[in-house]
Amino acid sequence: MTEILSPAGDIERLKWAFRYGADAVYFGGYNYSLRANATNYSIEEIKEAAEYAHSLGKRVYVTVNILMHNEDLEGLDEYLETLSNIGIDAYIVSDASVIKRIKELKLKPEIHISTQESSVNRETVKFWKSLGATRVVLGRECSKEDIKDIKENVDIELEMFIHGAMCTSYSGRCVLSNYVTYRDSNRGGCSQVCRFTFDMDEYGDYQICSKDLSMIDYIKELVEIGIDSLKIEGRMRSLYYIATVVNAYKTIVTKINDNTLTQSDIEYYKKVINRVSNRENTPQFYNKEPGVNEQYYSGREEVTNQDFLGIVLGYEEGVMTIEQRNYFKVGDEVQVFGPNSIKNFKVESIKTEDNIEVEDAKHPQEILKIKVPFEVQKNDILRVPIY
Amino acid sequence: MFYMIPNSKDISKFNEELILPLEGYSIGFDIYFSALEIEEISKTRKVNVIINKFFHKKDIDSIDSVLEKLEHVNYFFIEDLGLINKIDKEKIVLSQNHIITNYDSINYFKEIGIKNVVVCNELTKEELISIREKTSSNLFYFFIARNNLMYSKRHLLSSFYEYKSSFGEKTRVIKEKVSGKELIIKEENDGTLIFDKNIFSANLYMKELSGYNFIINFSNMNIDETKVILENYKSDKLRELLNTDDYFLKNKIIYKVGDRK
Repeated sequence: MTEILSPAGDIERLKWAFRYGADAVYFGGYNYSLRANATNYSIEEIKEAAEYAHSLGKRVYVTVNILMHNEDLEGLDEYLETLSNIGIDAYIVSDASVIKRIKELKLKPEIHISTQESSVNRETVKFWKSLGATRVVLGRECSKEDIKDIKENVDIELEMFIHGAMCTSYSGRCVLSNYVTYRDSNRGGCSQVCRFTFDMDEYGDYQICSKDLSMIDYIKELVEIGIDSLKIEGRMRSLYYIATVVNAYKTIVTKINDNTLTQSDIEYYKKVINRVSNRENTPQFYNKEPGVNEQYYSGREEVTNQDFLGIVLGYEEGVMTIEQRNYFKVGDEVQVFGPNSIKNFKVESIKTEDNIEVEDAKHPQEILKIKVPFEVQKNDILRVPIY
Repeated sequence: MFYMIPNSKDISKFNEELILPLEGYSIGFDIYFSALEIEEISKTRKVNVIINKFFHKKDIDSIDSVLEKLEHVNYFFIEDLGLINKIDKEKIVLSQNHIITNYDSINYFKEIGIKNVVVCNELTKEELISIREKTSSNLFYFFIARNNLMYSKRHLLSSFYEYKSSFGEKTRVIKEKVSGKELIIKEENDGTLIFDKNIFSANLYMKELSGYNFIINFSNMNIDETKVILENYKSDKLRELLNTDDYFLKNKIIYKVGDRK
C-alpha cells in the first residue's frame, strides 16, 4: 500500500502520527537537519523513535539534508554511523558529500534524495539512482506529466509532498534568507523571507508568498501512477494537525485500496484538513502552472484553530477523562475522533477531577470527566464536529 | 582565468572567454543565444554555454537535438543534474546555484567524472581557500555579478499584476520593508528570479582566490556599470567606482542548527 509519511517534530508527535495512520515518519537530529526551529531529536531520542517505530512495523527516516560547509563535515561520519547502528531506515540527503560518506562507510540505511535537490525529470532521477539512492523525493514543481514520465522510465521509489507549506522557489535555490536576514537557508536557518512584505513603488505592498499545497483531489491518481510514498510537510506542526491530516490521507488511501472511496469522502476530508489548516491550499504545479490563485499578494490572516477541545486520557463505564485544550460547555455537540472512528455526541455533564459539576471547560490542560454515550479509547481526540 | 557572460549580442567588447546562455534552456540573463548563433560564434572565439534552467519533461525530451548542434562548445555549465547523462562529462561544469558548498562534495563529483565545478557564492574567503586546497577539481566562481538569490518556477510578477488588474514590467526593483534591502525581481517565460541589487565583487581577494576561474556575469548591469566593470575588473578601484559588496567572503553566517545548542 502507498506509504503515508508524516513529519514528527518530536517523540510525542511521532507517536501521534503512527497512532493516526502514518506508515513512516521523518525528523531531524540536532545537527544536519533543515528545520532549526523544530524541536529535533537527540541520539537517544532517535534510538527511542526507531525502536518504537519498528515495534509497530513502521519506518523512520532521518533528515541529514543541510548543504554542508567544510566545518560541518567534521563529525559527520560518526553521526551517520551512529544513525546506522541505531537502525534508522533511511537518510534523507541533499549534499553529495553525505552520499559519498554513506557509501564509503558502507552504511546500511537507504539513501533518499531530499526535495532540496529539486529533482523534476527522469534523467535527474536516473542520476541519483546511479549514485545508490533507493528513493527520490520529487521537486514540488513536478506536473502530472513529469511525474508519470519519471515513474515510467526509472525503476526507483518515488516520494511526493502532498500537503503543507511550499517554498516559493525551487527548493534549495533560495538564499534570500542569507542576504536579507543573515540566516543560512540551506543549513536550517531559513527565515522565510518569501513571506515578508516588500514595497513595489506605485503598487505599494507586494508579496511572493505561496499558498499551501493540498493534493487531496488527486490522491487516487498518484496511487494509480504508482507513487510509493505520500509525504506531509510540517515538522513544527501541532499533534492535532498531525493526527488530523495523517488520518485524512490514510483513510483516503485505505479507501482507494478497498475500492470504496467516494467523492463525498473526499469532500468530507477536504473540510477536515481545511479546518485544521491556517492557510489556503491548492494542488499547485500538479495540474497547471500556478497563477493568480496560488499566491498571496498583500498579507494574509492566519486563523487560529480552536477546534481541538481535548485529548482522551481514559474511559470507564460511560465516562471519559480528558485533558482540556479549548473551550466547550454543557449542551455543545462535540466529536470524538479516533484513528478508525468519528462519533458525535451532546455534552450533558462535565465534572472536574474532584467530581465537582461545572458548566464549561475553560482551563487549558485541566483534567475533566465527561459522560459519553459510547466507548472511547485513550488518545482519541475531542474536537468541534466536522460534518 | 576569466570568463564573461555578456549582456549584449555585440560580444566584441567582452574580451575574455565567453559563457553564452542557451536560448530556451536558460533563465535570468539579459540575452540568449540559439544553438546556431553559438556555433557561428565558435568559429571565431572559444565559447562555453550555460544551461541553468531546471528541466521538466518537455525540456528533457527536446534537448538532445539542440545539443547535437553544439559541436564546438568548450564547457557546458549546467544546473540540472539530469544533463550529466546527456553531455560528455569532460565538458560539464557543474553549476548548481547555492548547492556546492564544501570540498567533499566536489571530490565526490570528481570521482564520478565531473571535475569542473562552480563553487557557491555564499561562502567565506577561508572556506573558498580551504576548498581549493582540498580538491584537485577545476573550480569556477562567480567573481562579479548581481547575485542570484532565488529561482522560482512561478510567475511572480504577472500573477501579481493580474491580481491588481494591471499590466507592468517584467523586471522590477522591490524593497524588503524591515531591512530596506533592495532586490531585482525578473520574470521570464519559465519562471522568476530575484537578484541582489548590490553588485557582488570578489576582486579585492583576487590573489587569495587564485586558482579559481573567475566568472563575470554582466546580466542585470546597465551600460555604465558594464563599462566600469570591463575597464576595472582586475583593479581594486572597482569597489569605489561601483560601490560593490563582498558579502559572505568576510562575513560568516553563524545561524545554523548547531549554533543554537
